[in-house]
Amino acid sequence: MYKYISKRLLMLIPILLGVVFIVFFIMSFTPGNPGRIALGMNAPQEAVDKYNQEVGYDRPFLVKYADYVIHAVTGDFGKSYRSNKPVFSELLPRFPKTLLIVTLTICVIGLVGIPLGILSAIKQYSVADVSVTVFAMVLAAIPQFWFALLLILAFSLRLGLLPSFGSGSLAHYILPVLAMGLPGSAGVMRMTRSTMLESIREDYVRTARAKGVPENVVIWKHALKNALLPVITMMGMSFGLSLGGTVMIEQIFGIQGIGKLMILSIVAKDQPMVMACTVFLATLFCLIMLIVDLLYAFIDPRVKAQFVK
Amino acid sequence: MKKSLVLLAVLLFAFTTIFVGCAKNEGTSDPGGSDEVNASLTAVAALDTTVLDPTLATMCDPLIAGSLYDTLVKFDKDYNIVPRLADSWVEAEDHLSVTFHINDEATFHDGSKVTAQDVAYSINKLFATPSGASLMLFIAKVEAVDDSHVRIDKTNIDTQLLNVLASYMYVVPESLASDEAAFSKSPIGSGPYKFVETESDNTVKMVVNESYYLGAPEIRELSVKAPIDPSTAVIALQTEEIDLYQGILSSNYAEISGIDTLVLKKEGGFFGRAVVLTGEVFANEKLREAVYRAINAENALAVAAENDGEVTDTIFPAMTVPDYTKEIKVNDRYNPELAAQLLKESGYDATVPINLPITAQYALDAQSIQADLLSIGLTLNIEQVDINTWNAKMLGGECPIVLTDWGGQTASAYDMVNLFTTQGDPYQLYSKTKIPGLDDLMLKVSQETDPAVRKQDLASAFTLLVDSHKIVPLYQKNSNAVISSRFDPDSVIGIVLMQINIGDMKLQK
Amino acid sequence: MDGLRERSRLGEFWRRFKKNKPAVAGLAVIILFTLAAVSADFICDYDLQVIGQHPVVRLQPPSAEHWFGTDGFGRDLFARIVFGARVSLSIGFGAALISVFVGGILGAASAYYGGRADNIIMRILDVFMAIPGMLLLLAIVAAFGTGLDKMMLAISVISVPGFARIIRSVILTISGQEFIKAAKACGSGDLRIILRHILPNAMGPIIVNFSMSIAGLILVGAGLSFLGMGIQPPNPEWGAMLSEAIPYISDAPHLILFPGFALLICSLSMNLIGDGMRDALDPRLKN
Repeated sequence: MYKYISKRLLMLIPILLGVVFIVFFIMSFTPGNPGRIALGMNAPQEAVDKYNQEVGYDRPFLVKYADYVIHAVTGDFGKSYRSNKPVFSELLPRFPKTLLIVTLTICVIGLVGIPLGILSAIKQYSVADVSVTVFAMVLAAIPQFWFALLLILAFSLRLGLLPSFGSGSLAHYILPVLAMGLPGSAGVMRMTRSTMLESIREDYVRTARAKGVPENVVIWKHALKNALLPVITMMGMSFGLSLGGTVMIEQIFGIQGIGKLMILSIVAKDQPMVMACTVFLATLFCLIMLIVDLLYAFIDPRVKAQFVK
Repeated sequence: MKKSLVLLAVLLFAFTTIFVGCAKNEGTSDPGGSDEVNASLTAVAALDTTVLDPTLATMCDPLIAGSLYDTLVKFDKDYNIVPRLADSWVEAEDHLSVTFHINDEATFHDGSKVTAQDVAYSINKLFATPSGASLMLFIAKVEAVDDSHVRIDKTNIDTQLLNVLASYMYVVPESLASDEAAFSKSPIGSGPYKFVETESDNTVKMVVNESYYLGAPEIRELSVKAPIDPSTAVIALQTEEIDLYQGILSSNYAEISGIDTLVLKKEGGFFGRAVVLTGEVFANEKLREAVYRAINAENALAVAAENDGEVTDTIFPAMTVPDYTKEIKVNDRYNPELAAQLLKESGYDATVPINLPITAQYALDAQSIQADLLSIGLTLNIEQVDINTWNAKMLGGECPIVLTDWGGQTASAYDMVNLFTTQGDPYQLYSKTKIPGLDDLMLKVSQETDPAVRKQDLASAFTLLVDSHKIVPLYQKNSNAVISSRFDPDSVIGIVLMQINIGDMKLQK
Repeated sequence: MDGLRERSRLGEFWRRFKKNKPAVAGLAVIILFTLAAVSADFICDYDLQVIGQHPVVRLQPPSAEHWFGTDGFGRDLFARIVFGARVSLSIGFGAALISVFVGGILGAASAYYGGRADNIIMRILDVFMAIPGMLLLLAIVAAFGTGLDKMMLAISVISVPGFARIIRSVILTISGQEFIKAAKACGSGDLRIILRHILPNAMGPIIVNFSMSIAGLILVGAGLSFLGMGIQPPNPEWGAMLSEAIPYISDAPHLILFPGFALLICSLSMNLIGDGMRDALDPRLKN
């Protein structure tokens, strides 16, 4: 078990090196140089050249990459070109907002998607089933950003119930989370339905029935537990993916999270900040995938058996 | 599966009806609590403010800086200079320095007196930052003569020192601001508002300074939110989540004007948009004059700014160089027939297109100019790039035509003209094609000490510039601010400079 | 014998697909949009209606003259949506095609060669998948520029790893099946096995995944333009139109409704088609 975990953690290193390389490579094609960006158009060329030399901009690509990696390993990720402050001092305070959005979104996805999926499976082919399936199809096709605008139109402008931007209170998060969560729940709805249906047919469920266990218990205890495994994996993956996918929602709702920082930095060609966001999010993603896999292993007895001697 | 198809159709139909049915309602929702006078204001910053010390970097939004701190002087509604921290000042005989007397009643929020040393400290601290260093263009030296007098030396006679002071130089207490960490947690200034806290979403909350030496402001509570897009702002203004926003798009004017609870204020002034014909191709004077006469500024204003502003007939914004309003005038410029004729006489091969690299904000102006030139037979190649690429092209001499916004309250006549001299333009941005006599004239001006002679020489310089046909004035676009109707719109000043003083705002009676 | 089997298999496929009414409806809608996109120039006048500005008639609700109303510049919304179909559909199909092609080669190579090559390719794809999609997309666009062709390439970069994995696993599954082993045992050459047995059987799932991903890619393209990093004004694109409509959300909600609806319907139709194809391909997969 521990061997597996340590192997996966070790894998993080080459993955991160690769991630940094790719993004570094792409960003190197963006026009502009840090000196000009920081000092502005009217600054004398000598000052710009000096600045560029100081930050080491004029060296060959691989040297810069190696230098970045070496510094990064010691914890020095450089300073943002925009604010001249260490990158993580700007990045980390923004993370809780994005984390809150994503966490609440996953909750909504689970609370909406799973029960409806179960309902759909239990009452297969009924009106409820068809409604849920259709509902899921529409939700899956809705563009998130459009849905967000419709929510703002309805709840902020017309009804005046909820704030349309900012992140000052929990109420500010309701619309963004709904905008991300409802379309996102479609996948979970359908997956829950299909895994429940599969699971209901499984032999062991029939066996439980044969043993005389009451119908409800059959469903809730046996079928559900096994049906939820793939769903939880899916939700875990969603969680990891969403951490980097809040860009549009944060843009529309004016929330100062990581997504907004990402697009701000990319547009301003703030390379250190872009790299910091990349490293941060990629690491989180890999860790979350590791946790999801481990969770799956622990819950599913068949998989667990493979690991436990 | 007929059932699912029908259900699908029904769902989509329901969806449509619900939201199409959201027709605009006649009345606006009650903001709640409108009986008692609501003396609080929620504004939106233009800059992402992470630093609350305005002398540390220029990343402190003016709405916040101008509330927590004071400058030596400030603008009134006609953009004349009036006292703030300094209640009187005297210019030296050689016009190269000004000595200010600090108001004896001026105190910081912790009760300590504001001294000349604090002023000197603040200005010098600002010079030490990379972006503040450019302000040394205007100020040569700052010195505390005694506790209540500070002397500031200008870099040259024409420097608009007072305007510079009013726009950028906020005063922080020397004793406290040197401890950056502590100061950023509880910033102390002398301004009309005291700092309360910074919320989790970077909203800065402030409260009235009752003992403000110029009189406590009418607005008692102030929140300044982090920057938002104009489109988000339009919504937030209507839901009354914010009360003041600067810079909505002119395409939203009609919509905002229709709402009772909002007031739209437009202001033009210090800045103008112009075309500069600077490339080597324009060494051909007839070609230069042809383009000069072909450009239709009224069209540009209509297309690019939706007529939100005024066409100008001065090569520089009049408010920037108030002493030379006659000399900067351009008369009878637009003449497309003459332009076509001049083009023929110039001998320029009209099949060769001229390049016009631009950044996004000039896209519509560029298209208007392109159409103008096409009508006399010249082809313009518009290339839209991002700002960094454009800067590179500018420095590389690849921009024969430049679309620019210029002017401002801190530019001086000398500075503006000098842009076109070899000595004043080391990167040859605007001086690639020389104007005969201008270099020598400006050299003379730079050494001239007699103000009368200087003025005369500068006037001649302006005339040279006008006659050279290098500058094509377009228009002055309006800056705007949208304010909740709870406040008196006449008390909102500083819109065109994006520097509204909340402390001077009054409630609507 | 093989040829006959092919034809009847296709016929079987189509017969089963036809029974799925929602899928057929989706197909009809997509065909409609494609026809509109292709014949856009005949339906509407580009210069006059799509990019020509008429401030006098700005922000008008749907009427007989302007079926979907007009936007903030007085441009006819219906015309813009029709032309916008070109962009959205091209991006969706184009990016998906590129992804399937590149991803297919990678996935097939990985599955076929196995061992070290497989490992290396998969690791590289893992690296790509670890980068937040939006970040990678925005960085590519910031570095290489905006515009239809660059958008298509950038979006396909994001989806190639996913395709490669799927195609690899599809091929591995097929290769492991009995009839392949039988063919090998019979002494069939590798190339023959690939062309005769693996590819035809793989096409099904590949096409299903292809069609199902198009919807997502259309939305990604719209999202990019919404953020201002995709199709530049004044060219019409549904996502960009939504972004331009935000300030008028109160006054003229029709500007938000129609482009969003177009996106929803296209995306939904592609999903229905994908579902229908999957069900038609192997009825056993259905529930």
